[in-house]
Amino acid sequence: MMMTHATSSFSDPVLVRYLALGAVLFAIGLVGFMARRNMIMIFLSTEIMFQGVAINLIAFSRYYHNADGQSFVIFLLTVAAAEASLALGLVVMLFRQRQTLNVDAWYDMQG
Amino acid sequence: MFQLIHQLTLDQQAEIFAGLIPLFPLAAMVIIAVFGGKVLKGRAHVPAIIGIACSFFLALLLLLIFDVGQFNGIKAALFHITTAQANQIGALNPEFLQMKFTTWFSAGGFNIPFGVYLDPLSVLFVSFVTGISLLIFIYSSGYMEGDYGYFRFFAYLSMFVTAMTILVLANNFLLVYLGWEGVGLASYLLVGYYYPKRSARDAATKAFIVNRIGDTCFAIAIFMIYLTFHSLNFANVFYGPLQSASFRAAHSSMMFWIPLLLMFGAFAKSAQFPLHVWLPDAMEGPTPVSALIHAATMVTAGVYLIARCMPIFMHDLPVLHLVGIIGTFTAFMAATIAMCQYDLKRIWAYSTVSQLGYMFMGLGVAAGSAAVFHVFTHAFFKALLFLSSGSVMHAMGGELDIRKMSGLRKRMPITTICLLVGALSLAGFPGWAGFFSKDEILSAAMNSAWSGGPWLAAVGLLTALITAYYTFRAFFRVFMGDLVLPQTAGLHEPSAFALPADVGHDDHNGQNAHDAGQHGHDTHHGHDQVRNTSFDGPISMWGPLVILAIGATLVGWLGVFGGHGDQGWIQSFLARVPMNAGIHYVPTPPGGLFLPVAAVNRLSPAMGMTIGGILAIVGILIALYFHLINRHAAEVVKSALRPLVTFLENKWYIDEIYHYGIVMPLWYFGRALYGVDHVVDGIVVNFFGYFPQLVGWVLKPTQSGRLRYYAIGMVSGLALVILGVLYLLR
Amino acid sequence: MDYPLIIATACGAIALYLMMPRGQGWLVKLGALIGVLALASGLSYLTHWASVHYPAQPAAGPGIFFYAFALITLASAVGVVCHPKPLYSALYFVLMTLAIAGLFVLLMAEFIAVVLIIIYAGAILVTYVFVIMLASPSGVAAAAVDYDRISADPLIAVLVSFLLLGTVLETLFTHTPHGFIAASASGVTAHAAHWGGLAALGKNLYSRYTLPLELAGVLMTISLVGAVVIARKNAPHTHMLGLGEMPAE
Repeated sequence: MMMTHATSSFSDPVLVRYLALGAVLFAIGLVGFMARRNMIMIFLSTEIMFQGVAINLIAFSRYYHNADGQSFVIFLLTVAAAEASLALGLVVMLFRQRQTLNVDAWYDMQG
Repeated sequence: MFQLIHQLTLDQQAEIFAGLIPLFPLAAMVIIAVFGGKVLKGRAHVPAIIGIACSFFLALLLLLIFDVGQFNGIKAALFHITTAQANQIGALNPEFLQMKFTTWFSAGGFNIPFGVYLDPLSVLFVSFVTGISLLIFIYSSGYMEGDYGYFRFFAYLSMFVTAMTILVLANNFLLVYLGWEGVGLASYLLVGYYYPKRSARDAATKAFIVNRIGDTCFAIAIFMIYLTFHSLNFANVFYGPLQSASFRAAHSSMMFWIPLLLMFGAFAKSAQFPLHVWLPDAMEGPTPVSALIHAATMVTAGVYLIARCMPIFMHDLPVLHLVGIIGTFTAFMAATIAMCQYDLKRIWAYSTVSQLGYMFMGLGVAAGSAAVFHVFTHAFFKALLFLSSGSVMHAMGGELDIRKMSGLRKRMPITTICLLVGALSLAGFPGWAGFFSKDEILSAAMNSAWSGGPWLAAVGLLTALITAYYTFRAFFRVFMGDLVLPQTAGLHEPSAFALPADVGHDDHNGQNAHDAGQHGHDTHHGHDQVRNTSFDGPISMWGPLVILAIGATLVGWLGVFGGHGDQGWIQSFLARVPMNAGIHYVPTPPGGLFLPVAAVNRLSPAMGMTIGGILAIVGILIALYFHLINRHAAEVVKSALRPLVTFLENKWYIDEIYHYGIVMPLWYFGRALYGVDHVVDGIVVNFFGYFPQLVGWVLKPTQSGRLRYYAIGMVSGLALVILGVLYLLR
Repeated sequence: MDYPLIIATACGAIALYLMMPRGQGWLVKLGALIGVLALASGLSYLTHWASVHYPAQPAAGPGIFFYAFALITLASAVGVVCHPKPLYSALYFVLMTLAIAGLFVLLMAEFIAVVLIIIYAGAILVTYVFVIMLASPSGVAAAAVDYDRISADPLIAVLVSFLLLGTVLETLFTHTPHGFIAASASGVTAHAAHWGGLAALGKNLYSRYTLPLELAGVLMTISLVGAVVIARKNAPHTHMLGLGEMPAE
């Protein structure tokens, strides 16, 4: 059921549904970020948040008949990839230090 | 320069002399203060004596100028004027001379000059102040010789004389207050001269604080005077609106409070009940200080103040009568205390308080001339008594307890005779000075128009009896009888400054008259050497004593002969000062200052003198019996009257009452306030110091170092901010 | 304030909370039930809201595919967050990515959809899986280590997130009837007919967003170098785990 490019109507209520979805996804990712101890899972939750933002951007791109949203998502993916690589490198390094992935093991900055 | 002076008129010359009088001691003080430590050292008395001699000379000139006409010839010759001109000031019209030298300060309409106010009262005061001071300065140069801080002593003494002369010569109340405070300060410094001694420091502080109470009352009185009269000059206050009855009625409450507060000020300075407690303690100072300040001059400042302000007091008779009552009571109280004291100087201190009471009695019955006459004679014989006691103390190595010495006449003949003269004068033995002056006060009280006068006179007569008794108790105990010397006789008094023995004790040759040239550490040679020497001291000490003795003998007769009519010279001299009731006084504007008040004739003067003389002799005889002939009987009586004696020995327990009633509560109050302050400091101030710590302590758990909690914090903050913004925007 | 929305959000919060890793298994199932309930109520609220505020619009809405893909997305996202084991979470993430790609296709961003799959599911997730495998303690301790068997502070996390979510949704649903910024203000491209295709995207990237593009490239280079530097073995006790350079995209 492919829509043709120009003729489908993308009205406000529909947009709102997409935006709501993006918001909920973002919230779920936030929960995961705050409630997991495994460092890798924390980063994975940030990826979920990225996804939510991407949905928002693409929805707006569709609403405004603009390629700007999509371009931004390209950049978003770029940054997400870069960030993932660096983050995982750090996780590996931290794991080597303490032999654990538990993020609560690192509290040297206490007080 | 003398030509310049002669070109001025006589009154201008008088004013200039008066203006110079305080300046000589002031200059002396500055010189001694600056050069005393290094340059002058043992010669610090020289500038002081020169300064005061100059002041005394000028005071004598003033006395001559203001003379009532007895010495016109001398005046004319000295001042190159005619006899008629010499008589001019004698008639004294106007009744005072006033001159302003410069302005002290002025603010808006408030203007205080440095000026002199010359009338017979101030001239008489300044002359005997400078005269007695001169003699005491000379005495001190012998007495204080070798003492550590010698120059400090003379600097303070010079400052005292400066302040005292300013006090009596001032032409407005604020300048009087300056002198008042100045003498108070000098008293503090000199009483605390032996500052290493705890008792001396405490006595000095006590003197100053009790004086302060009076000073506060005096200051408030000055404020009130300004509010009422809009001026502080004597001329404006005494000779201005005060004359009109409507003005007095309009300011009736002021007219009550001003004399009352002035009375309190005078009582503090002149050591009357209840503010007398400082004077006996002030005996901690060196003996010349006691003689000069606390006998002859400073304590008479109160009498001077009330005498000067008599025009105000005369319009508020209840307060004036209160002055008389308190004065009489004090006289009686102090005399009873003196009966049971054993420290020689303290006996004379209480005697001073008692005699000052007499002076206030005289003022209280509006017999100002009698009171001032008593001031004059009292200065002589009290200074004589103190200085003689100083010689005794000096000879006995600092010992003053009369129970420990006896029969000193054999060792100190000159001192014995001088003290005897003083004692006769104090006791009122007929012929000596105290007899005439005391009797005049008692007669005025007896014949006063006030019905309370005779009561005062009766108490005064009783006190006279007691006075004679305690005076000769001291004399007979110390100088008569068998020779008993205390342990420290002939030795140096231990220096309060506790310096190494060879510092400050140079050239002390007072002890051994025949060892005059040696340094004074060879006095421990045993009793036979001590026994053979005379303790009278150097001439610098017994010289002034002799002069004072002569004065104490003769000045009484000044109150008998030499004046107009059958008055003495003094009474005529002081007649023009508005401090006597019963004088129909006509100043330049017509209408008298006081209405003539007929005196009631209850007792003739001759009768009064007779009774006074008899009482004096009776007192002496009682003392003779108990303290010379049968000393054991004194012990018997003492033990029989044990409670009374204890009460009197302990000075009527007034000091204890003050201590427990005023000092201790204040001390506890101070501690309480200290505690409050501590708490307030602890709580408030420390709270401000502790608060950041508290905040940190509260916030520290948020810094857990754990990533998740930081994330939670960030997100919750974000949520709350967004909520807040949204709901605010609504 | 729309109470149905708040109730739906709250139900969703409770659901998520219950589904977090915990000891008792039956609570998870209960949570799932409540979650469905929440979604259903949310959906009904949405429909109601749309009919109230936009009566003129066709009632059909976005169609069945949207709902299907949305459901899969949410379910797999919940799975990512709530599964104790990291590997399963990664796999759920892949599922989520696929669903989102479907959504993108619905939104006429086919290129992005494919790119998403390639990059996320193909590269990033593979990396994650590698790291999950390699960064786990070896030997006997492996089984004992299960960091998220019981989740950490689920209550606060859920509470705060859903507070934020509630606020955002509330604003969204209250303000949307006032309309978004007018379409003309954001600059409609000339080729409106083909605004979303690959050609249009490429043109947009290279004409309007040239600088960000170049910077993105620089960013990638930097992250490459950085990753190499970070992952170098410099601790003396490190075992050589065979981790070399991170594969770039």
